Amino acid sequence: MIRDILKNKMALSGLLIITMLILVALLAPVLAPHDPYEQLLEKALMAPCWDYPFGTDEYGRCVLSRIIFGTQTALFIGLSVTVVSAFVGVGIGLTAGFYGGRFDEFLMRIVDVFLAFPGLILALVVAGLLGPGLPNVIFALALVGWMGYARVVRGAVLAEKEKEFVETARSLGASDGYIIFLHLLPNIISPVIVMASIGIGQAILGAAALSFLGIGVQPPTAMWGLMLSYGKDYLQSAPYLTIFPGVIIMVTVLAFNFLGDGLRDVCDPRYGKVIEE
Amino acid sequence: MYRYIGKRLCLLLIVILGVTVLTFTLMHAAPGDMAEMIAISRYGAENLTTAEVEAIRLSEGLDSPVMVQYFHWLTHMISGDFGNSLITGEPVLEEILIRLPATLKLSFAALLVSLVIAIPAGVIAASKQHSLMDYLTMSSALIGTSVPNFWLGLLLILLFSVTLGWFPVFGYGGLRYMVLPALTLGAGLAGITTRLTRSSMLEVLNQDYVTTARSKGLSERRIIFKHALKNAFIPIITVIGIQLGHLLGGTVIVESIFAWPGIGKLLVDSIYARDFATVQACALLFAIIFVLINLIVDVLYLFLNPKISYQKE
Amino acid sequence: MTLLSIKNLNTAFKTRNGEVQACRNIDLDIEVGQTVGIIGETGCGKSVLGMSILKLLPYNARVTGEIRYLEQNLLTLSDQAMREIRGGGIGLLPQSPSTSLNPAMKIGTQIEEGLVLHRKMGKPAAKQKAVDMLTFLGIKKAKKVSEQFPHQLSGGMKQRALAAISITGEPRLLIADEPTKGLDAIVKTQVVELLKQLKAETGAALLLITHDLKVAECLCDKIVVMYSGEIIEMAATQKILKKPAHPYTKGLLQSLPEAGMTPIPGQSPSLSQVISGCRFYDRCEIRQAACRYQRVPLSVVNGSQVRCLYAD
Ligand SMILES: Nc1ncnc2c1ncn2[C@@H]1O[C@H](COP(=O)(O)OP(=O)(O)OP(=O)(O)O)[C@@H](O)[C@H]1O
Ligand SMILES: [Mg+2]
Repeated sequence: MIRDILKNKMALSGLLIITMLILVALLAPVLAPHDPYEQLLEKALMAPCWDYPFGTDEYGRCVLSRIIFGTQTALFIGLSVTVVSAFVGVGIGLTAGFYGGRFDEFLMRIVDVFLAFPGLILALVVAGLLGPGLPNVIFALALVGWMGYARVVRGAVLAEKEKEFVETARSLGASDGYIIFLHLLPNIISPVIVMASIGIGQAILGAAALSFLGIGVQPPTAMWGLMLSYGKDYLQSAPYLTIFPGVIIMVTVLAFNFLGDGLRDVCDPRYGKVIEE
Repeated sequence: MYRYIGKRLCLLLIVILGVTVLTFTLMHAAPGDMAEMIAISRYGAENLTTAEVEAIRLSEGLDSPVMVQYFHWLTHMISGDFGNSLITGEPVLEEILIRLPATLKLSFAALLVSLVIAIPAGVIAASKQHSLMDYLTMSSALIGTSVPNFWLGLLLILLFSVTLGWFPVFGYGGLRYMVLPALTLGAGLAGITTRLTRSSMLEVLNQDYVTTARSKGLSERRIIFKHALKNAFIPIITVIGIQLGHLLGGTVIVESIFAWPGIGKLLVDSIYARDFATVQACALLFAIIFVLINLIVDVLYLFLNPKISYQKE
Repeated sequence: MTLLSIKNLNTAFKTRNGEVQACRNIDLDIEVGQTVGIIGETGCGKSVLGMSILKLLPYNARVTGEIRYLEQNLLTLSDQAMREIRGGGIGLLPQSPSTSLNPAMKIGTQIEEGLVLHRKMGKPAAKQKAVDMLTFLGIKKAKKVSEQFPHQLSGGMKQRALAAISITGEPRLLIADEPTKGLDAIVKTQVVELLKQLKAETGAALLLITHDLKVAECLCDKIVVMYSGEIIEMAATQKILKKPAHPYTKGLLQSLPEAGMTPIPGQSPSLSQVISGCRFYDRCEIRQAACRYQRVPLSVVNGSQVRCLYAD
């Protein structure tokens, strides 16, 4: 399995970039050439140079250092949103699929209701109403991210339920919870991991979009979307304020997409034996 | 078939009802006293008296139980009264209807852009699977889906407006104003649609009947256009329907960047201003449009599928 | 006269788990008008052999050797020239009727395509001819059927429509891949009749891929037995059925219902496995030490070609 992942070029390149991002986040204080929060107004809006490779922003803060520290924020948001939404989604999907009937029907209608909103809109409204702050952003993004897990997991559970081994386990007197955790969970883990991988990228993108709109995380936090939001006012005079944070957002999202796509190829049994695709 | 559509409509109603509940809950779960906020928006934050706030609480029915408030709100909405803006005091619905065309225009232009790019790209990539062309197309598509559209918008402005001066930086007017926003919104969509077009084409090209067609000695071109494309279109349409949701979400950002006077911008502005009535109405509208599109796509799917439309006869 | 001559054909697929070699050193001749049956258990490479001839394998396949059709080696032919052979020289009657017709195209149109392409007919003439062909193949109300879509047809009708498609280009060789798979006895007889009818009408040679020895017996002049990618025995039909030489063929005949359904114990080796000796070694009742490592060539034993060192 792990060998397959390493053999898959997409998954591997995604994994490499992500590893690098994690390292950057962990080593931010060491790697950053300057204090990301230190304002030196006399150095405001300097073009990229030897001392400030990505230039400085309108408060004279080092753009590179802010991008490096922004990695921490981005990964934190991506991970926490994904963990929360995956937990909620998987839990709901498992219960719905397992108990079925009216209960399932009810939960699926709730999923439908949440899916009725274009994702960004719901996140925007929720984050906007809750007001500024990192936890609010995470809550808002998790709120729009759990439905996919619920649907996929429910589908998988329904399919697995048909199979014999659940019947066998039941007839041996296993309890519902035991059956769920011991038999079904291993079978749904791979689609969930694929979704989670892509989900991290999407959460980072969503958080960036929110802060670009000025909603959610507030300055002076080092955050890529915020940097863009302020940089855009200097599009003409200091385009580097716009270019660099955008590149890093794109690379990050791309890396998680690569990983997710690659994992999907590896996990999907349809592609397993024969590479016809 | 009509039974199916009927069933879908029932489900749709249930979902929309759920959407109203969710929206209402969100507004009421928001921190802050609604009556006070309305009062602030009417009389200003300075020299606001408790009496004024209480008067508003009474007049707006904010003192009654939540359920009562919800039904009050719901019945008003069904009769077309979405309330008044907390900022301007004008009916929210009127403002939305004025702005709706701008958003629709932008969305359709973006959809067009994305389809014009994505369908040929996806078809070519699938028909030349594993070629360099395929890899290049698919890499660009994946990059396209990963580019943040707010950033892409800025880059396009930087290149085409600031540097080249071909298009206006922002604003609303003729076709010239539409190019950059539509490109921004359409590009990300194009990425996803290309990938899905390719995979549904591949799915079709792996079918037995394509082998039959090949065994006749038909040219690859005829196989793609006469045999595969028609069958691939059915899933592609579904995909487009799903993508429209992303497109609606994207209008919020693109309209904000380009100062496009649509509903997306209205929503963002109302959030800034904490104009609950407008936020509520916009969110509701987005959801309803989105569900309706999905329903239309599903029904279209039925009509396009010869197997199912036959059973109707 | 030899219509198709296959020499040392090898077909391998590249997969994640290594190379799957589905056809090994195949040598096979088909005479003009001859009917050759290929039998063998599932997964032994029968369909792959058929598709190798038509060059309709997925991209991960690598085919080497020589496939000579009349004067041309198909493996070195250009795509364009190969397309003329497909349908025009070699037709295919595909495996499953239910999925082999384009669901979004009228039956008539699917038949006309080949007529327009290979017989250079005009649209109206092709239309008429398509209806005639369907009528000839026993479809009543052929005109109406030609205007219908596949899902409106019964299984038997689909098979007839596919039969019509397979002969539109007047091919001199028809490859039929398990035309009787999953059919009940009555329909099976009908399909056998259909194939006879096709042969009588076109005079084409037939390469019949099948599991069904009964069907092979009814139709074939010669039978080829494949095992794990190799031809292990090849002889005239009656010869094979009456006096099989290879232990695998014997086992196959004994596993028939009439013979008491005694299955051959064990499983055939994986196609990706490299074996220096006999591929049937593990399951063979008459194996000797030599079978294990010595390469076993096809040799003539009592007028059959057999790949066994100890065949009698
Ligand atoms: N594209 C491919 N990639 C890898 N392996 C393949 C591919 N196509 C076929 N194979 C393998 O080649 C082997 C032979 O397959 P083939 O379809 O010829 O069997 P068959 O004899 O026709 O069996 P059946 O009677 O079930 O139709 C199988 O083991 C299959 O797994
Ligand atoms: Mg086969």
